[in-house]
Amino acid sequence: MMKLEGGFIQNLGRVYGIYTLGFLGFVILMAILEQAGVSADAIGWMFVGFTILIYALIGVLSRTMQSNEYYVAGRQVPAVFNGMATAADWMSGASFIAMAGGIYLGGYPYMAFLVGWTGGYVLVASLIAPYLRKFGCYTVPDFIGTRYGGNLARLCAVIILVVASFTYVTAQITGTGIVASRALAIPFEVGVWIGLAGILFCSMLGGMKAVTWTQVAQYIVLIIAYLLPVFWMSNSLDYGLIPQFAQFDAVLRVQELEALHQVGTLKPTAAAAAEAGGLKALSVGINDAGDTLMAKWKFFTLVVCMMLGTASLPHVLMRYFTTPSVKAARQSVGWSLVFIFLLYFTAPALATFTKLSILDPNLATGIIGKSVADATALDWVQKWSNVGFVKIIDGNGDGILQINEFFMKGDIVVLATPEIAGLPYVISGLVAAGGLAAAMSTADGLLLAIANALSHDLYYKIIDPKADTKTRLVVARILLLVVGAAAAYVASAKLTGILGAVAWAFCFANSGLFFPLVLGVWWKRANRAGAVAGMVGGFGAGAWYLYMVQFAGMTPWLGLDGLRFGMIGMPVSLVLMIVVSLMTEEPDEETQKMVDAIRVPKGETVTNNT
Amino acid sequence: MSNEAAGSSSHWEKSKSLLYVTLAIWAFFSFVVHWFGDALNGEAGSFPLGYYMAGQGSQIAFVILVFWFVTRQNRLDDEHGVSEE
Repeated sequence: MMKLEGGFIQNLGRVYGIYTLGFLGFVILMAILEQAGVSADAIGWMFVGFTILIYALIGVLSRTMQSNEYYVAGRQVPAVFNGMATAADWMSGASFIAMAGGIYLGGYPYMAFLVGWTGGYVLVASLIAPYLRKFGCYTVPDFIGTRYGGNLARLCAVIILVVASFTYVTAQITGTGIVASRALAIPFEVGVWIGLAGILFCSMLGGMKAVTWTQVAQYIVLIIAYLLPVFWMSNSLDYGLIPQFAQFDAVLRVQELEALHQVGTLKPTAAAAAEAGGLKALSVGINDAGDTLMAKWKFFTLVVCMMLGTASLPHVLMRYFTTPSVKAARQSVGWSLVFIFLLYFTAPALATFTKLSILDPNLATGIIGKSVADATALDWVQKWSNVGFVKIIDGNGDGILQINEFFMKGDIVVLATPEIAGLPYVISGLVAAGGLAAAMSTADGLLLAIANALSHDLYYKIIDPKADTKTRLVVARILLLVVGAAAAYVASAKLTGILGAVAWAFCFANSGLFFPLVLGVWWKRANRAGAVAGMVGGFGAGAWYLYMVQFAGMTPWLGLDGLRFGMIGMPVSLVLMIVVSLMTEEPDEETQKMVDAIRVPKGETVTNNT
Repeated sequence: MSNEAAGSSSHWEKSKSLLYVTLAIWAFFSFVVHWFGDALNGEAGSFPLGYYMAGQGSQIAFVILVFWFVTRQNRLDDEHGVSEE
């Protein structure tokens, strides 16, 4: 088995090369079938079914009964492939489905997410990941528990991890349900459970090892699915070969069109907005950066929250436990960012070209400023109206579609763009497969982070330290099943929108975990009492503020809304951790030596996990 | 033993300096640039530099910064004899 495994690692390039060609071949086959008259529904089914089957197959082939394979993929994932797996782990349904739509409707201020979700990796590389790799932990609470000592610190970290990751995973399973229900034409509630079944197939038998190799496969599908339509649009609109560089001329053109259509001044009437429900009309210019102090502050605070959240989310940090060395862990952060960058610098281009397609009256695809009857008759408008993603309300009854009469859900920018731009259906099927890959891969990482923390830190380290490997791995799998079912239940009850919950997860993580993690490496004086105070105080203050602003109707302080509650939690966490550490005894010599040991790559890992 | 301790403490001092430089560049592209996003956008019709930095420029800077940091830190480890074999 070991020999075969070594062979697999050495042949990774070839294996995934063949896989990529195979997938492209499948896309071409689907295009041919479409030309031959196979129905759009059948093609959607095949895209979703075929890709889920492949992921499940990889999951089953990677089954294992060894704990270091189950928890950290045997620590033999090369830097570049771990980068791809991290990118898939990281880019969620929100990044894939909702982000371009967010930029479309939100304009410049929304791009704070792009800055925050990429710049956070500078912190991961320089402050945290290589040191945790040297530490040799299986989970993030494992580091907190061993560095600070005591079950209380470990338990606090487990609780914060579970709250942050569970908030996040319900959003992913919701995303899986949306895509599965659209592509397979089944009810959303059923789609959620089918998605969960696919997710569990990838992770139950092989833990981190299986999730790693499916995530690489999922990254390849999602990046092809995201890039292809944008390249197609940029070239068919004649803006240039590379859409990411060609988008800025299109931005200027969109600004001319915004003046023409009175975007920003012509707002929907109260009655129309109420009728549209959760759908929105475009009412913000593409590039209104705003020169007010409040606009700058809101951009700044969102960037801070997303960056420090990135550097404290356990499902991301634990990916760097799987590399063969500290050096590889560091390089792997760089590769992760490259693979994430490929999608994130494409998102604004996608938003801009879609906007151009809809706003430009000179284009066949333009609908704003044309007759309502023509717009309503379009295939994609009908199709997406039927599922409640698009609504046209001719408020002034003049028969012309104005900007404040076209309502949409942001998600259609990704999901419907191939149809809006008149691309063949095969591209829509591809995009559905990509969205599913993005949501499934993130859900897998999150479920594993939760179940591993519960099985390794709560069950093995706190409840039953004498448990043998076999029992622990059985417990880990049962927990995975239970947590997955709980998340799917919450998702099917439609308790949250996709992105609201995602931003919350970042703020929960940074409020509770950022400073205990960073200071654990960078400040020897940090001790158990300080860390516990930092975790409890930061997380408690953040959670309290979120509750007050979101549910108790409190006016936000300084414009810090529910997306930014980390701005309350983090300072509380930092101050408490420093003050309480200084007021109590410094850590013993053994702990100080432990910190010295993680600061250099050379030598054995600190923990001796078996 | 004392030599080794001195060696690793100078390694840590240099690692900290590298961290401060990295964080300074990081803060510039994370916060400073976007604070002036509106001013960078310039007159209507000119190249939207503020938009460019938020949508692409800062991201490119982060990619380069991470690889620069990793290269420097690896070299630092090698020079002080504390890297893995």
